[in-house]
Formats: sequence, C-alpha cells, structure tokens
Amino acid sequence: MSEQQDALEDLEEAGVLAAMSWAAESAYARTMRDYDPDAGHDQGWVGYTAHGFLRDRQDRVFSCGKYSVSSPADALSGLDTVAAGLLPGEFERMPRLLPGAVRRANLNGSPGWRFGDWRWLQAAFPFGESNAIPWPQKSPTKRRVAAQRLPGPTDQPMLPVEEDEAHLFQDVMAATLLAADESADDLTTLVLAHAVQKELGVRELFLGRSRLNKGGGTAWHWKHDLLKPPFGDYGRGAKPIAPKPPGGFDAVPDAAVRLRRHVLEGDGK
Amino acid sequence: MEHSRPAEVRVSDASRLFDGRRLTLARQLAGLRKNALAAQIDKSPTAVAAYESNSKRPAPATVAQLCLTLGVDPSFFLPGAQRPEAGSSVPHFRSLRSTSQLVRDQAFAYGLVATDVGAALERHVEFPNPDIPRLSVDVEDEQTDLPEQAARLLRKHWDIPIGPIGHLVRMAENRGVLVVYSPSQTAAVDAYSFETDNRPTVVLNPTKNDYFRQRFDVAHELGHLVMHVDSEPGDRITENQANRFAAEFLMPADEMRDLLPSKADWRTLGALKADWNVSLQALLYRSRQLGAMSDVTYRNAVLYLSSKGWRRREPGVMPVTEQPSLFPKAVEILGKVGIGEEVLAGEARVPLDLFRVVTSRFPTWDSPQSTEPNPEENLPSGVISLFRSAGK
Repeated sequence: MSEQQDALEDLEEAGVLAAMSWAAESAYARTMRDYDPDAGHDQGWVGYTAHGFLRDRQDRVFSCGKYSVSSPADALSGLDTVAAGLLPGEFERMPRLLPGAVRRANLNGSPGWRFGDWRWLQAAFPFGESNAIPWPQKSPTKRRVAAQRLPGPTDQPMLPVEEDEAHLFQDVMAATLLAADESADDLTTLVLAHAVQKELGVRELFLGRSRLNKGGGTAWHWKHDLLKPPFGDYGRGAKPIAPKPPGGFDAVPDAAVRLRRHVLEGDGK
Repeated sequence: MEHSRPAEVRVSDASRLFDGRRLTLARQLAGLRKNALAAQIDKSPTAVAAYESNSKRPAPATVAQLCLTLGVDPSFFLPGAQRPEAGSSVPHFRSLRSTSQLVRDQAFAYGLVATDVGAALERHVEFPNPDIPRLSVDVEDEQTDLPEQAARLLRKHWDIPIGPIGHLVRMAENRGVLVVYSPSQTAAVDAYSFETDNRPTVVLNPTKNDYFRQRFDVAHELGHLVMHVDSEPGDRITENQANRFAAEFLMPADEMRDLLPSKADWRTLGALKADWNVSLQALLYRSRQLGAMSDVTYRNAVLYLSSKGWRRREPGVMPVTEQPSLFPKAVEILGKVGIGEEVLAGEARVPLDLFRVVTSRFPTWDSPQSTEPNPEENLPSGVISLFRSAGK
C-alpha cells in the first residue's frame, strides 16, 4: 500500500480530509468577502489573511489552540465560541470531530496539526502553480519537510565509531544506549497547500507530500486534490498522481552522454 | 550496421579458446573459492587452478559443467580484454578486516564487469573525458595537510563555486568518473573505487539509502582517486586521509570554521546539515577536527546522538539518494537507435541480469528467495553468487 493511500485512507476515515476542506472553504469565503482592492488589498493581503483564517478554522474544527477543550464532554458547552465569527451556515456545515483526535503539532514554530502518525503544515502558493512550488526557497522548516526521507528499505547503520575514537565511548556507550529514549517520533509531515485566484475567486487545495525540488522538477512526491469529489473513488476511478519509483525525483540532468558518429550514421533513422 | 545477438558459442569452441582469467572472474562473481568450485564440478582444486592459469585447457564436457555451475554461457570463457596485472588497479576497500578476501574478490570482479560494460557502451557512445587531477600523497605521513590541499585542488580544478556542493554524483560523472551501484548481494562491502583503462570508477553500496552518507562516501572515494592511485589501499592512514579529503571537499575549513557551533546546538547543526547536504555526524566530526568543538563536547554530542538512535538514522531529513546516470543514459539512448540491452550485454559478455544491475539507475533489490544463500552451493556465509542461475 502506498504512503499516499495510507495517508488518505487514515485521514478520510477520521473525517480529517472533510474538516480540512471545510476549513479552507470557510477561510477563503471570509477572505474574499473582506477583500477590497480599493482599500489597498493586494495578492499578499489575500494570501496572508487566508493563511491566518485557515489556521483559525483548523483550530476550530479540530478543537485546538484557543478552541481546545479539556474533555469531549466540555466540547458542547463551548460551541458558541467555535461558531463566533463564522459566516452564516458555516457552523452548521462544520464537520464534527471528537476533540483530541487531532492535536496541534507545530514544527519549529510553524503551525501544524497531527492525527496518528500524520502531521500537516499549511502553505500558500500562487494559483495554478502547485507543481512548481520552489520548496528550496521556502523557510527552513518547509525545506526540511520537503527533504523528509521516503519510506524505504531497512536502514543500515551509519558511521561506525572510528577505531581511533572507540576508546572515547566504550565505557559509557552501553549504559547510554540502555537509557536511550525509545519514543522517537515517527511522524510523516504533509503539506496542506492552498491558493486562490482572487479575480475569479477560484481556489485550489491540495494535501500532499512535498518534494525538495532542487534544480526544478515537480514539487510533490504525491498530492491529493481536496476540492475534487470525495476521495472514496481512490484506486478505482480517478488515479492520484502516481508516485515515481524511489530515486526518480532526481531533477539534475543526466551526465553528458552522446552517440558516437558511426552509430548515428549506421542507425540514425 | 546491423546489431544482432552474437552468434552462440559452442562448448567445443569455448574449450579450444578457453581463457583462464575469465574463469577466475566467473568464479569470483559466483563467490566461490577454487576448492568449492572444484567440488561442484567434480575436479581437483589443482585442475581448477590450472584452468585459471591457462596451463591446462578444460575439456568441452568440463566447460559445459562450468557453464552450468557458474550460470554463464560458453562465450563467457572466450578471451577477454587484456588487463593490467592485479596490483596496479586494486580497489580501495574500507574496513579490510571486516570483509573477507572472497567478498573483496567478488566485489572487484563486479568492478571489472562494470569496466567491460563501460568498454562495450563506449564503442557506441561518448562519455565525458576523465578529468581527475593526481596528487601523490605520502601514505606514511599522518601529519601532512595534503588531503585538505588535494580537496581544495579538486574544487578548484572542477570550478566548484564557494559553498555547498550540489549533485555530487553528477558532478563526478561529468568529469568522467564512472559511478555504479553494486548488487545487493555484495552489500557487506562499503563503497569502493578503482581505476582501469584510465576510467576512474566508484562503486556505491546499494543498501545505505542514506543521502548524506552516500555523498560522504562519494567524496571519500574521490579522495582515493585523487590521492591514492598508486598506493596500497585499505590501511588506516589512507582511509583517514580520504575522510579528511571528503570533509574538506564537502565542508571547506575556510567556509565552515565560523559557522560551526562550539556546543552541540542541534538546531544550528540541523540547519547546516540542510544547507551543506552533510550528516549531523559529519558536522560534529568536522567541528572537532577544526577545533570549533572540544573533545569532551564532541564526545557528549556523539553519545547523545547515539542515545537517540540518530547514528543509525538521523532525524527527519532524508532526501532521495543521488543516482548515477552514465550507464543508464547510454543504454537509454542506444535503445532508441535499435541497440538493445541484450546486444550490449552480449558485447560486454556479461549475463543480462548482471548487465542490468550494472547499468541501473537505482539499487537493485532481489527477492528474498534469490538472495537467500543456497546451502548446496557450498558458499561461505555472507557470500552470494552474482549469477542468478549459478549452482542450479
């Protein structure tokens, strides 16, 4: 089963994908309602505002941040806070998720949410250019997320202790290893990428695994269009962007290899 | 010009034209000692030695037996390219003590196969000319700063701008260095390098799957190719020199000295790692080497790193490893003009399966069944035949 399928099935089943879609819809509805070019609002304002609203809407739907509650039972009592500031009908359409199912999981100060082993951060991008998001030029956090290792064959030990250093470690290594923290996180961080074409008010919303596209190439190992009809058809009808084979993301051109002249003459067609 | 499969060679012809060095090659690829092969073909070890030294020709029936046992066609035993005697092109293997002679022989035989494939491909395509400066470094001298000088020389010679180095494999390939993956069966051998026919070759370990470690490996092997062409490989001093070369090549002292933290500041180290495409461990090593970090700080940092399991797998950040392109690209463009893999494998006189491993962009992973040693093959533990059908 591919990572994409794993992620989408987990998040779909828990209602997280629907919640993300709702959050983005609400965020952009409010942004576009407030958008006023005559007042000096520009593309930057749209992106910034929508980004902030999206964070807020995710916190609402996932009961995180200032909308967090101490127990599921408390959730009902605070719903007026959750509804405050939303446009008419939005609160009614908001998917209901059990508080605590999704938690805040920021990364280096960048807002993030977590469900199970999946974490996601938000990223805005210019409409229509989702495949060309230049991750290497983004923040160190986004760069690092894009550089995450893909699931692969079992890892091999890295640098063994150099022989001439071994004496430095021998005594204490065993004890330290015994006390090792085994709770190392195995989170995979995804990106919830959003955009709007402000004149037409059309949106894009993708959830995917970003790819560090140094030297160009596609910005994703895989991405899923959250505005497309429900994800239930996955694997039967519309195929998601197929992940390439491991290592196929190498965007650097091949080395300079040329046909010799005699081959060209003999076989050139 | 017509390209077709080479005419099938009959066992009797192979017997008449038999080249013992090809038998040595086949035996090493199969991971067999002479006595093990002898037992399998029901001959004495002395007879096998005599075949290999060309002092005795095997009878056609013996050639047939050899083909069956080793999994090669009779044509494999026809005379091959003349090679310089062993010694002038001994590969640089790391940790010699942990790899047996048999494993090293097999790995080097694989390197020679790669050379044969290269020669076959270069009849049809042009690869970039080798462009590696040579600097003979005194392998007895532990104090010299020649490894660092050699790294700076290579950076200058290759016009590498100040700052982090990009795709290292591609950079080497465009300077005529052949980079290939070794088969998964030989994963016990670390990356190694050698030079034949003036084509420097780096063979990567297929199982690392670690972008940062692989880059350090490539830089380390470039160090051998620049500094140690004529020297005996594998001793502690040359290995240390190659590590120093790699450290300076990837993390030049002039540029790194002010950037490296004096404490194990993981955030800073993580950012440096992302910028310079080197591991946390390499950065720590460099920090101590350049005196930015004290021995005690270094030790504690490495211990912490070990305790977190980061020595095996550093946290989070792992780009896809760099992939070689010279051979795969050549196969690709030759395929477009009607020269297929089978023809090229035939010209290189390499079994097709092995040809595909050599010319692959990606490490090849055999199914568990085929990498499981067959007890009947009488192979020492850890050595697995590179021929798919060997011993069957």
